[in-house]
Amino acid sequence: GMSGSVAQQSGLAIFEQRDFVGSDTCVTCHSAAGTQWAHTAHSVAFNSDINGQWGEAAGCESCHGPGSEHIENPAVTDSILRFTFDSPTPVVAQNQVCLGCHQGGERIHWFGSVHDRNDIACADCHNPMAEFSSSGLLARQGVNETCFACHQTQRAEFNRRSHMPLTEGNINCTDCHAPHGSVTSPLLQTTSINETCYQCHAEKRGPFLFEHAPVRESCTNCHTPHGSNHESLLLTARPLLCQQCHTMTGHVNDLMTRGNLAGGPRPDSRLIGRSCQNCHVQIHGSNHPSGADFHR
Amino acid sequence: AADSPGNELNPDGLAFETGHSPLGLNIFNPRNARSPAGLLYPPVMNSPGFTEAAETGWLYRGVLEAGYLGNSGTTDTGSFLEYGDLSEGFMLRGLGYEAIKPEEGKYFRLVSGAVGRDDSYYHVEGGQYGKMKLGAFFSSTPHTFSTNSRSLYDGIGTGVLALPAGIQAGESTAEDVRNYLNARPPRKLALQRDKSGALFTFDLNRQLQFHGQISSESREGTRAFGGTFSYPQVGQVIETIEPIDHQTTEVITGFRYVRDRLQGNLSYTGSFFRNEFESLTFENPGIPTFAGVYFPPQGQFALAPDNTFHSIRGDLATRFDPWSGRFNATVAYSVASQDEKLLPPTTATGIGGSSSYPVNLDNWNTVNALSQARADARVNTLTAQARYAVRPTRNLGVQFEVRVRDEDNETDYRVFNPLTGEYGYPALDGGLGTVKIGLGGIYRPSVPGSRVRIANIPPAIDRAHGDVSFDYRLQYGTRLNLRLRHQETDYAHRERSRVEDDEIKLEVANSSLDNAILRMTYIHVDRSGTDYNPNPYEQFYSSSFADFQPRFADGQVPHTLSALRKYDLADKSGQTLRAQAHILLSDKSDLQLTGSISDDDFEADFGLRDSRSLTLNTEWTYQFNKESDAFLYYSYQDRRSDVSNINDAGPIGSDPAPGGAVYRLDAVWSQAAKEINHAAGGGYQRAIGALTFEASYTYSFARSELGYDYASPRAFNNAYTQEVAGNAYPDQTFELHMAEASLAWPIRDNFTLRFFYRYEREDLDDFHYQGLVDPVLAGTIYLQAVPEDFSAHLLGTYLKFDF
Repeated sequence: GMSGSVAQQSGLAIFEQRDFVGSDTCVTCHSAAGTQWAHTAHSVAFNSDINGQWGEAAGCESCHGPGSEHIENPAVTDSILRFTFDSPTPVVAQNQVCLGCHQGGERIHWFGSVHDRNDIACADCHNPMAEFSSSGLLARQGVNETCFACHQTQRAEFNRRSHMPLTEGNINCTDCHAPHGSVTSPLLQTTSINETCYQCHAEKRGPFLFEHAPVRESCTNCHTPHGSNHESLLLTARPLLCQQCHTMTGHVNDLMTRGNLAGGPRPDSRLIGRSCQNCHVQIHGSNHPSGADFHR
Repeated sequence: AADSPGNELNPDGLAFETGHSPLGLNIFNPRNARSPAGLLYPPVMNSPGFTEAAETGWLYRGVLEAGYLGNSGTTDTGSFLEYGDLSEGFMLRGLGYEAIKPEEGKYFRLVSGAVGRDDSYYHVEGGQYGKMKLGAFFSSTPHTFSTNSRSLYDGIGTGVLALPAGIQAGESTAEDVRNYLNARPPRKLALQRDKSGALFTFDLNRQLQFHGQISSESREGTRAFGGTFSYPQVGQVIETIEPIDHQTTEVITGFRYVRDRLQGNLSYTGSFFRNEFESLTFENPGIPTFAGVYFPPQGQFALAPDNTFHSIRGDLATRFDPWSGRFNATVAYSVASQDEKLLPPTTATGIGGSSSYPVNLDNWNTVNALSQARADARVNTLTAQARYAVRPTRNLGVQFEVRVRDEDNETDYRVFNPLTGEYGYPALDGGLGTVKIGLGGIYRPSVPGSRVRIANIPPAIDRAHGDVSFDYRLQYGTRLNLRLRHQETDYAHRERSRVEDDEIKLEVANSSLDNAILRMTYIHVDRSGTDYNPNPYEQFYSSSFADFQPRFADGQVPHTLSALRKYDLADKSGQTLRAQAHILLSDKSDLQLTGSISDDDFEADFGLRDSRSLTLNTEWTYQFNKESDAFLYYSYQDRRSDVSNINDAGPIGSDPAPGGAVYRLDAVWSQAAKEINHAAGGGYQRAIGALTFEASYTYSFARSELGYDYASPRAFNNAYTQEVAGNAYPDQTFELHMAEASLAWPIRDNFTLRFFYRYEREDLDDFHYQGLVDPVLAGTIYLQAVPEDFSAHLLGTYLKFDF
């Protein structure tokens, strides 16, 4: 087991031969930080030190390292570990301090993940110094705002005509994505795109008697998850979406034009309303013995 | 998923926090710090302090916020109601209670909002840090699709949609139906999604944690559905309404093991989906008139079957001394299955089909007409991944990754009726056989061209990739990353048996400048594969039988155009360039610029040919002081794609190639899609004395232009003139404005009065619904769930009490 400062155990040389001064000493100067931090989960966890994990380091110095040299010359801010832009400590080393307690579990795939490889620091998304969010000690008001700080295209997409209820607060980015590392490229919580979608859309999981192959392959063959200008998060308008792949002999490959709109001379159910799905209702798969063409 | 606190009027589920703290975080610095990546931290939120409960060691704080929400405008539209309960009336906006016992590391926290409303949430959690955690939650989400649907049927929301008195199955006229529908009141189509659950974690010791979560999600309501009894323009097509009564129970449990150099997770996930409605039966008004057409009196859908998913997964991470090596790996095995009792091939009775080829439906309307009683469908999936990273020198990192995912689809169904000894099924309850024998669905060896389905097609994909990446840290804060990846995908029963993707990814990042961080990524993907077989499906059709007679002397009607390439399998050359600049304008201001450009060329003559996009984003933030800040953003996206296809000339030959008798070059058509999106917004927050003022604005605009071109009017069967056809659909546009403002006024120590105002407006033009004022058009009966614009004001007055 570990005890003492997590920062020390990270192996950073700057902590050698320094002594702990205790949080009470720190807050004599850093009073605002002390007051704000007292509201946080870390404050309760460190103060109780229920597993005897931190000992005399419990509190500020658990993460920032022993403060004796900083006390001697407070103007030298680099004598304690800072988790900020002007910190001389490399991001990898900063993160190692957090991982001293938080490694494994949901962060088991952190190393080598896209955020790790791009030098994203724990402190870019989290700020445990105060209440910036309702939970999760995030650096911003909520999960979505935290992600949107860099992923701005997704913010724009979630304000489109069809979107999942993310801006409405019913879901958030981490319902589908695992920002701390994952076994998929888009950092999904599960091992595949479809498995992620089925968490909320379990009725589409099947497997069905008659499968629609691209559905089984990936929901994103037809849907774009972050927002669309088309119904039901579709990639493009129907029937064009279907006609990108389908041109079987018969009624499938007719060019639908303005003439087939509801107000046109030849209104056609292949274009109006739900388009192809007016008839091919069970496009995600059919369990009906007469459903090979997804009509039943 | 979907268990985080929050709803439309409080997306982040904030309970305690109001405005910004005047105290800030650092008394030595008038500005907020920047995160390691250079992002300005926002101002600290303001929240009530804890009060000590006498001699217990517990500290607590609580908030209760309640008031009245008023609204006006077009608030009865589906678009306004989509995901929230914004109805007028009393609102218990938030209730929060938190207690901590710092000496013992104990805590309790309750957060809830919109109590009693359709978008309420309740989260409770408590425990002891380093020992255990217990929690429970309930979250409710409405999903309104439309409020203006009109349906012919009685029994909506049940498994049987019956025609009303006065509308006779198969004997009604369009006029009867139109008159009836026009007199019906509009109906709301909506779901209510409620999820509740409980969770725990126990730290068995310093290394081992046991965790679990069980949740149950119900979805109840109705949504638009389709329905048909024949070919488009010939038999009855009718929009129906699907009854939804779904229940998904999910169990996740496992162990997490953590040592300094070794971590492991072992977990089980079980998901159990149950549908109250196994089928939906709908009667056939049968309004189109084609002499001799058979009108099945009713049809039946199999709704989503109950299904079960089990997954067991192990994760491992470890590190080695030589070269700071790190290894992590995952193995997961899952089984998705369903074994629903199968429905009979039809529920129709008597003689159906055409006079030449009648079908005795009484031989098909029983489960004895099935080759098996249950679906017995099952897909097993194995996923394994390993990653090994080393850093041979201080500046060089090398990483290897392999991943394998194998799917095994065990679903095996023969489309065979043991009662009659026939293959196939009466398509559309006998309605389709009226039109063309080839479409009747039942195999007739004596009839040339009787190609029907004889088995299910069980798709399965095996995919593996291997990659190596090099990470090099140059001087001056520059980092280079090069990744090479090769991926192979093996498909069962697809046009290609194997597809290979080769990808090069090059990233450059620079953080050497004092006031800017720059990143750039370039990705090139090349896709190729085995020969493309446009029709790998014959073994699942009666055309594979020895006694099958092709329609023509030289072969069967082509399955599809041989030159079309399905884009998930087509050869592809793709490039993406992404760039990101984060500019530190001053100690109170940030500017972010990001952009990407991508171009996928599918190297196909027909099908999706190319797809391109351009995205630009910018955001500016400014912090006036620790309590006041502002931000502005703008995003632009332009996406384009081109598709080409040929309208076939009918079943007149067997040549599948472009330029043949079936796929004539004068029936070639193409469509070009262009989508332009603008999004902009901003926010401002400042303290005015003791008051906190917040304002924000969100704007979104999208225009989808779909243009088409064609070699001749044969592309649309000469159904009308070129003048009528034009060369584009009406543009599809969407526009959203949302402006919000709130003012919080602490009228006494523990009481804060808050005024809230929102103006929201959405305008949508979707050509699919344009001109849809007649519910009966060309023999199709529509729900008329035409998307509606709205413009609405919300006004809230709340009193918040801190205790």
